[in-house]
Amino acid sequence: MKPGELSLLLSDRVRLAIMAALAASDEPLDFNSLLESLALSKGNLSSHALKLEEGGLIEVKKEFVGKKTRTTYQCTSKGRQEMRSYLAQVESLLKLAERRT
Amino acid sequence: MPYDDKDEIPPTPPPLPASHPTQRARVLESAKFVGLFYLESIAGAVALLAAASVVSNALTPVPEPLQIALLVVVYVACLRRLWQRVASARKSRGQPRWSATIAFWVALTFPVAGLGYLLMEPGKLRGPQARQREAKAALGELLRAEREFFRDNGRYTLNTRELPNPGEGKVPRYVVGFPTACTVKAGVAQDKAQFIVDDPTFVQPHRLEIEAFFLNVHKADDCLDPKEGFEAYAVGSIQENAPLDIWRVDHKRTYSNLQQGW
Repeated sequence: MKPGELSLLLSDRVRLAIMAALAASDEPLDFNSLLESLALSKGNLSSHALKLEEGGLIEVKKEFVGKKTRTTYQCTSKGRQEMRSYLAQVESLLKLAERRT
Repeated sequence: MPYDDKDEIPPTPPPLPASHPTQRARVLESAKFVGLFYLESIAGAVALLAAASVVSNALTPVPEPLQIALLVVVYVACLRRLWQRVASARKSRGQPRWSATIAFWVALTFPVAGLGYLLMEPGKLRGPQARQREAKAALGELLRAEREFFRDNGRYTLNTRELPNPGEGKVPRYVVGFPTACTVKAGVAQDKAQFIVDDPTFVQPHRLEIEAFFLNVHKADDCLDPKEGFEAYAVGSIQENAPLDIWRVDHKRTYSNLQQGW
């Protein structure tokens, strides 16, 4: 396995953090709780989430709860699979690096 | 054992003082005190708000918290005056001066109940000036998100899908977004030109008017290139029987209130 084969989408620190938070939760997470737990700016979270959505790794739902707007994010099955394979790739790279040292 | 008539005949109650009023007179007196209290409170509040409005128009806007603080001062002063009237009446009847009378409780109950209601419905406490701050806050949030987007992508975006909703988790009163002509020119679908607002009270009755604004505010030729800049608007109805409140912000962080909605 070569480093170039690593998922480009998940190579970004923020996107990885978003995916880690979403993959760890069975329920969808809303925008404000993700914002708080990841300590990101609104624009940052929004633009990275859009990239993950375009890659099919997460599902974004915009709805109204009463009169309030609510944006929720949920990891898709493709997202979970990508996440597992990304972590496996990183792990094998680490093992490779350990063997060489 | 000698007979003592004091054992059987109860002692006669002391005679009422000549000034002691009947029950009916006391209720009337309480009503008079409460009436005077409300008259003074309302007159004081109206005078105060009129003065604040004059100062706001002539010099500088009087901040809302200051107006509320002054109203509380008027209320407390009127309550003190009521207390003095009650104490004086009680003293003249030979009763203890300080006592929580019906008049006092009536005077206290309605404003406290009103305040409780306002605290439960925070929107009612906020006047049009406070609502206008929502527009500025939403546009400020949009501007920050646009700058971040520019840093990552080398251009601004006119697609609301690519930006966080400035009304996230709130009940937005303003429709925030970009002129339709500019979004069409940039190839963004029309339904992504503005953030959707679902408020039936403030937005829905003015939906067509707001849509017309976004359609007509710019011609395609006047739109900025997203690589150079952008203009965003917040449009809402913040007061009945008043025109729409319209705010604008651009990439240079220039805010302007194009039309005052109150």
